[in-house]
Amino acid sequence: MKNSLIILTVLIISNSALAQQTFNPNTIHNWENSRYIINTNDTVLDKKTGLIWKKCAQGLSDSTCTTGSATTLNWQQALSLANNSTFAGFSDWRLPNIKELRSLAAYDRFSPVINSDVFPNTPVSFFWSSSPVVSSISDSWRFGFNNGRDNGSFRSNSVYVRLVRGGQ
Amino acid sequence: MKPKLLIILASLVFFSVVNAQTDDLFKNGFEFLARLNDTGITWGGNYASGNNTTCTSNLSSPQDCNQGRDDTHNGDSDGHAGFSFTKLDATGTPLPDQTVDYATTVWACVKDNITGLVWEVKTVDGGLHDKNDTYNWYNTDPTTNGGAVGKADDDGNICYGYNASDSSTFCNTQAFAARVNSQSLCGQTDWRVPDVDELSSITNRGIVNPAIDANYFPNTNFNHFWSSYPYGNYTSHARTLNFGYGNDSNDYRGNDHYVRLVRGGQLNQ
Repeated sequence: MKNSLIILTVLIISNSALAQQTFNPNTIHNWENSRYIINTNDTVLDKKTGLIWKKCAQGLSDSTCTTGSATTLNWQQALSLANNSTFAGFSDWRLPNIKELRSLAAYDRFSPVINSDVFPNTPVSFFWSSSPVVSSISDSWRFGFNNGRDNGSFRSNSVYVRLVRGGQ
Repeated sequence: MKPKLLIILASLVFFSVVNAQTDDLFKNGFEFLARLNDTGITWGGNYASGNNTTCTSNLSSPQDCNQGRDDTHNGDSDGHAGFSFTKLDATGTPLPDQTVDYATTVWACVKDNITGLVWEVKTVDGGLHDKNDTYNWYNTDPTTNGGAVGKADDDGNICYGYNASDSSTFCNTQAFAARVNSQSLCGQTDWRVPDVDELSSITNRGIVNPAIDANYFPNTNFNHFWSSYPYGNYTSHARTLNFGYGNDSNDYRGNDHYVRLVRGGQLNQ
């Protein structure tokens, strides 16, 4: 009985932790799979913006982004990691600015607000931009893929990261 | 050459071309349908705190101000830093003198030369485009309203021309767009409520209150403006954009907020 209770508890907790993505059929659909080109080197081209994204959030890998675990970094670490990355043989990766980061948002979906076919296993949480907040000397902009909203966050906070290149 | 070898060779060439394709696309200056505006941030932030007035930082890694149009096209003649705008008169013609200030010569619309969008300019004349008019969120199109229409007339006389017995004068986003189209603002009749990406495109995150270039967008209240986007499956809410700080939010559709209409562009088609 005790073992069953433990298993049941684990199942319930893991189920609620797995945010179920919702989709609103009664909205504009501008984020279909056809908008993106998924390359075999696990980068993704957004044809609308010309930006090339790392398919997986930092720390995850393989074609379904389920190997490893998603990394959170403070703003300094995130900028440094982007600058030093040679993923897929490219050396011009960067942290996206806040407008570039917002362009990933698929507003016909929720939790996460992103096309999960193209960007699988995206943490339903906040991601760093390279943009500091003008009205707060200790914040930089982050974007939440939980509900599709951006706000400022302490630069020392631990936040998820997805790298970008091109498009400028 | 043996046919099998030929096929293998052809396949190898094909796949290598396809893989190289996406890189070539932007290297060779492929024209994308939409271009993102830069953020307007031309200064650097320190870690863990401190903002500088120029693009310097105690960090050695590049950040926003080191990259993009704000870095490479940093002239202010057509809009702060990487932005590029053109002022249009009531007929949609560019002003002959783009340097005039609004107090001297009003302009009716602004074209964003990066995104291709054309924007309504708010006025201080108490008329149809007055900066202080507000609206409820209302959309009767079931394919785009997120599953509910919102509020057609929740707050009565909060905008120019309101007449309680004429629904075409109601202070909601849909009726407002219809009124502006009936007047052919800047010679055009396809004005609409912008989506949240379009509103974000004209935000200048380098400044606050307002977070927009007031040389081109005068009379912008430091507050929330309605977007056309519903808020997830919360059918009573819709997304807004706060032109005080440049980030977005959401609110109950029966509340009243400012609206700036848009037309054109190919940002979301």
